[in-house]
Amino acid sequence: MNYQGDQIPIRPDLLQAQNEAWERLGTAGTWWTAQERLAIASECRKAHSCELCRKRKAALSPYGVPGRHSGSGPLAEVYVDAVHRIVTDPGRLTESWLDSLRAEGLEDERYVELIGVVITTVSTDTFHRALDLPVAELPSPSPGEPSRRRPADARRDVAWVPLVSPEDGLREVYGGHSHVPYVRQALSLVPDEVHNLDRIEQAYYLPFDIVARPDVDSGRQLTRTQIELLAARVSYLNDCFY
Amino acid sequence: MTGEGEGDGGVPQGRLLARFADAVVVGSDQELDAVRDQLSVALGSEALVDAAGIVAIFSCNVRVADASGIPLDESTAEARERIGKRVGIARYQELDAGDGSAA
Repeated sequence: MNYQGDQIPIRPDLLQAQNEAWERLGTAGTWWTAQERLAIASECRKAHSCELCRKRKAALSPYGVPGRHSGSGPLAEVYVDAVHRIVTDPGRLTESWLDSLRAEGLEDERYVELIGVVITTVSTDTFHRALDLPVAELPSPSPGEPSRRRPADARRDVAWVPLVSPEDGLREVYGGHSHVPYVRQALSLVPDEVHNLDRIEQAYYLPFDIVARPDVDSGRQLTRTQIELLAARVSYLNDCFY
Repeated sequence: MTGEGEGDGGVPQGRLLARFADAVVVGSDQELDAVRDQLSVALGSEALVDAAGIVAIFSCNVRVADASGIPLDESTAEARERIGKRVGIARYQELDAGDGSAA
């Protein structure tokens, strides 16, 4: 992505973070191959036109609408369901739902990396839609194998998935940043996805060192008040508590 | 932040920004085209890019939170309350993009 010719003033740091995240989609991750990561990204886009997702979204409860998601690809149905639900109806996900996917073979490590791929795709696609830019073409897959490294200190505690605590992973997982809210811990079962989210979070939103200091000039063209209003509005629109 | 309405919520161009978020997340292409143009005129193209980035990343944060089942940690809740007061949004949960009751 370079946006040349689009006449849109994208900040260089934002452009760099976007491109790094986008290229990562086409490389082997920790638990998925490059081809599988690209299949997850592709499935994110298919979810918007999925008939089953549309019916479930309209239903009083999504759990009373059986069926199969439209489209076909290399992913097992259990992971297709995870992608579609996270993209189209995240506010009504439950631990019982995740447990039902586990019973069908979903692995926590793959699920957490899947969330990371979904948010890379959703952030880029949302940004492009917001600015009337064409949908970005997915990168080509690079050769390589997943590293399959699981943090030894990851434990199931307060979330539906295992987390690495700030005490155990401050340097390796959280880059030494002492402010580690749960939203930064959420993907810590796959540290590379934490690092990716950290990069795009600071480029799209604010650098971590000024998040808690609203009086500091962020260098953005919106005031801090305007930024926080937008953030709150998006959470509300997604029925999110966070 | 609840409900819908017509005010600025005490935030400069707050109504327009909220409409932009609405249009990106749940609006039609036509609605988005219209509000995008208005926002660009009102705040400039660089601010429009920043707004697009905020909507994009918070569309992700809500999914990370909802998909992982994390709780809302006390420090985040306290920080939001503190930041909200300092930047003029006293209570997020009562901020209404429309009726201006939040500030």
